[in-house]
Amino acid sequence: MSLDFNLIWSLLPEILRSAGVTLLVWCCGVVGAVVLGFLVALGRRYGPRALGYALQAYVELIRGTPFLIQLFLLYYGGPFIGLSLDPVPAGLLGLAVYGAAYFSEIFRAGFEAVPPGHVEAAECLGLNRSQTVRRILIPEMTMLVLPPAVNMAIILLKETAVLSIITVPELTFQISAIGSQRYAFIEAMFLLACFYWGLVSLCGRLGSVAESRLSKFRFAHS
Amino acid sequence: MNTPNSTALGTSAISVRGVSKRFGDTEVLHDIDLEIPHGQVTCLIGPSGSGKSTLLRCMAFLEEATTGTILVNGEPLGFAPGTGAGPRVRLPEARIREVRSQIGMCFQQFNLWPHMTALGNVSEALKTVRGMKKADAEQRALAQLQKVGLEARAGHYPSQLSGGQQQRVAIARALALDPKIMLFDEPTSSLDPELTGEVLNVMRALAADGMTMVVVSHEIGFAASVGQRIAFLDHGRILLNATPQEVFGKPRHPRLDQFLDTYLDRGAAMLV
Repeated sequence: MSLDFNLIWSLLPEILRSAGVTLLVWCCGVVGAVVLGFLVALGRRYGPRALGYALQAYVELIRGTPFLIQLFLLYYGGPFIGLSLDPVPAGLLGLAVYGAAYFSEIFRAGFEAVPPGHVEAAECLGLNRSQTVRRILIPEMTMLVLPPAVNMAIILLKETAVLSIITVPELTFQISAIGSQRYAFIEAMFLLACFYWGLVSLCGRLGSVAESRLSKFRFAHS
Repeated sequence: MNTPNSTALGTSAISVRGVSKRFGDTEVLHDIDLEIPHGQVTCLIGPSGSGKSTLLRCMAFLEEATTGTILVNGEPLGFAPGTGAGPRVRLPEARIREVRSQIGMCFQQFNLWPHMTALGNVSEALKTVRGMKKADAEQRALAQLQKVGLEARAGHYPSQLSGGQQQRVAIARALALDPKIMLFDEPTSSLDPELTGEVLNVMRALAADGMTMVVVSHEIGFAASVGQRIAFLDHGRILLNATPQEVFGKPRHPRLDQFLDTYLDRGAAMLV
């Protein structure tokens, strides 16, 4: 069996469309996961104890179960509790809720890595809590959490392939469909791997650029 | 050698009254009474673990005293003065910030924010807390940096400054907000001797300007020459609180003698 590149060529427009869906779902999902994850980390740091326990339970539940099963429950089980979503919104919500659990842990570690004295200095100078978070904690932890956050974004990019089980028309779903229609699984999977690799490389490159830009903000004192 | 109380109660810059501090089962401060007079330099000295840093941090409200009251220019810090009955009442955050705004604090580790330049560090609170315009805040910050001799380093990040320069920026940052009282928590302990001098000089100039200062220091020489009051702490109690002449002169408290011996051993004491 040899690769049929003519076949790949002829399918390109369809594939690009589904790559667009993957990119869209991924970008929105990552933004949602980062925002939600940050709120979870804030809630665990500053919120009342009960909220902290609830958020901790959420993080452990999400991290303790496979994404595939969470998504399945959300999409096919959701209607039983009055949550009927179309595939794309369901996929987005699932990706954001799943990613947020991991991002919240990254941010929690980031908060804790900022020397307490930097926060005390802000407190002594009269900055209130939200000013301290915005002006001190977020900028200082950005350079710390950037590498693990980029890593997590890459993992989420590949997790979008799981959305195919709830019929989100993204790359994996479309290319698998083409594969079965044309009996061209090897070509399809080869292409698929190339696309993900390309996207991941791009994401990693962006992360490196951001890191080098932030490198001048190293901690002054060891 | 009992605690003299020449200033009338309530007129001190800071009054510490019956303050105890417990961390779990350990009592770090035991029923401390201390008056910090206006316009003078009070040095807190004592061995490690004596509670001097904790006492200073209580004055900055970075630690909450377990019991007791702290007054800043006669106004309660953190909690309404206890009546002895019922749980103490925590003051509203805005009120706490207002009382705290009279106090500037410098740390052993400087605690400059690494993502801001020296100018950014000094002007930050002027912008966010005082609501000054960026240009005005920076102009004022630059004037403060000039006072500590660092206007040429305004654009440098903390990582590009020496330890002594960082501490001077930290002092400028605190002074920019016009505090009435400056607290120093071992400001030179993480500096080598060469850099210690430049920070102590800035503090000397500040003292000469009449700033009310409380300094926790291992620099006995500085305490003896600049301090107007010396409080010697041991095991969470103030053993001595008097002028340097009284504290360091003979006859000397045996515990202080023992403490000073450790300095003499290292050849570092330059007493009066």
